Amino acid sequence: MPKYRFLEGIVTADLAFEATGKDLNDLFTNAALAVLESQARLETIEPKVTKKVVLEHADIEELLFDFLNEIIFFKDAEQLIFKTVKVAITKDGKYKLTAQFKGEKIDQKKHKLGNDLKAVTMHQFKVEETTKGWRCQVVIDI
Amino acid sequence: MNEGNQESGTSGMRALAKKVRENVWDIPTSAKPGMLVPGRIFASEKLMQLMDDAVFEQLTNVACLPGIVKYAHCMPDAHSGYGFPIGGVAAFDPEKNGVISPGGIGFDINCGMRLITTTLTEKDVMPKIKELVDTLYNRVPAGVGGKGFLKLSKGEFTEVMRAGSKWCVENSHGWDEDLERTEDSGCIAWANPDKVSDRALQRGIAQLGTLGSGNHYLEIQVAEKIFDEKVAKKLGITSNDQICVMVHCGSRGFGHQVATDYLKVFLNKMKDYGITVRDRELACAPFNSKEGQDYFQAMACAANAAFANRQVILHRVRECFSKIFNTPADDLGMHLVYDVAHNVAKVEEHKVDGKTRKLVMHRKGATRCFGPGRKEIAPIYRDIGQPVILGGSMETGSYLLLGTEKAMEETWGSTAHGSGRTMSRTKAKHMVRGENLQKEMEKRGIYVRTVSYSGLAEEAGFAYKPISDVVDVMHNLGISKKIVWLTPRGNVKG
Repeated sequence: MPKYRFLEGIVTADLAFEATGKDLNDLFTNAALAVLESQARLETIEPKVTKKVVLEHADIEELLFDFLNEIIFFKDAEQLIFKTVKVAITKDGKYKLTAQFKGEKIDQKKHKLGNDLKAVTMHQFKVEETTKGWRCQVVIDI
Repeated sequence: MNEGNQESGTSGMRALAKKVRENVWDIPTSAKPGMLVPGRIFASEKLMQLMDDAVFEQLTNVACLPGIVKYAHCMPDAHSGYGFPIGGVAAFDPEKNGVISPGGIGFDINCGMRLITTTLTEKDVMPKIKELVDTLYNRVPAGVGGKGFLKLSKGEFTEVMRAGSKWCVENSHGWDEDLERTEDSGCIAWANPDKVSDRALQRGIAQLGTLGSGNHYLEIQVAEKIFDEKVAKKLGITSNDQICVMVHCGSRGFGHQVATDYLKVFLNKMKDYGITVRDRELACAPFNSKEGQDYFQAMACAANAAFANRQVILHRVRECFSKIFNTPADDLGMHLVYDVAHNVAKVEEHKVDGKTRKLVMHRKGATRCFGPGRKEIAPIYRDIGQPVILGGSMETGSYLLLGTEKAMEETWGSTAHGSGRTMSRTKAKHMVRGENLQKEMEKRGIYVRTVSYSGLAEEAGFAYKPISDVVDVMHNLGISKKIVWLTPRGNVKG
């Protein structure tokens, strides 16, 4: 089963994808990879810089929404794109997320770039538990 | 919250659209529980077919929002978006709990178009088109990681939020005349930087003067056909071999973050106002609430940043032309024709049942096209009506139009914003490779430079509706008049 796939027939001008995972850590990792891959081809990025993200939320959907928006934030605020991500989520009343991204500053000559993502939208945004683990559906504004 | 979805009866809403006259279709309030007004679509039969089913679902969702007046309108270039359709126009009455919704404006607040004239002809420019496009590509940052060439302090960026294009002109990035040729003179007065998050500022501070990606571009065009010589002349276009420059971009990461911040605020606050919506992207708050006003003031900051972004780009374009043609930009007649916003909300006075009312107008992928005489139009154009710029795909061309009195009656003084996609980005990318498209376009006399070849493939002309069909619908209805058709010769893409 692929970790994520881009979907057609959801939106015309934007980017829709679904990601799956055996658990929440896996789901969040795969969703992040879908976002990272649509910014730039991952094989062209080197893991030179490490960034840590810590988030907490009572709602799993809002946690994923904020988490994916972090990737877009780093791209604009620090001109960073990432190759890898490690996610650890715990639940103690609220969900607590710690993530570590590795990547480097954007170099338009070196990186094979895709789209400059604007925002994660709430349009048909879903995080759901399935018989095999977890699934999410996300639309990114381009 | 009712996560009403498009899976249930997607084709249902389309089937309920009834033709009321040529190019006008209505979906009655009986179509969906909760509709307060009908949906009204402006389109030919062909364009109706080219719209995806979700447009009709989304339009009828908008018709359910509190305080909506008369119709949820849909322009002929419409396609589905998030929450509102792209090509949506909706007015809300603040006296009747009317709302403001970030999803009715878009994440790219004040995405818009700018058209610049030159005194150069196609013959002057074509021998140097590669040099010119390469220079623009190198001098106007585009695409992922395209960093602005201005180093702004937080204080300076805050001034940009407040003053928009005015800040640029005061800091030598433009001419005085540029201001009156920009919607709202490039500076929305109610902008309040206190309502903007530090995150938004961090995303935007290094991006002034950058194009971005997606469907954003900087294009060298030729005035291919002039439909109304008198008006075209007044707008600075006098011959059908004249070179013009078109810019399409918005408020960049700054505006996107403002929209993201307030989407979250509204989602958490709606229950307090007793509002339920069918899609979380329709999150809204009463215009006269604290949150509604906060967003309106933050949105204005983003709109001003977008005006400033296009202004700084204009200044760079003038510098590039001046360098290549070894002539000062003013001797090259590089005047701004107009700058229009097509993702924004405004408070405007309109006639409703014979009475003048102040309405909160949402235009998302739609352009204001006021008729002659409106005070919002700059004095130089007030007697003819507002110029409107419709950006087409990079292969098919664009249009300069003019607003009309009829638009005030039909669409709250609004028209389309471009040609509107018909095909998803993923599908377009599967149909053509960017590198091949670039070569094909060059053979056809369009020289393109891009940061992203996959992005270029996504923007192929076949992914869009025919722009002439879109323009003809609004022209034939008397809503916006055709003035000039412009076709591409060179293009810089993000």
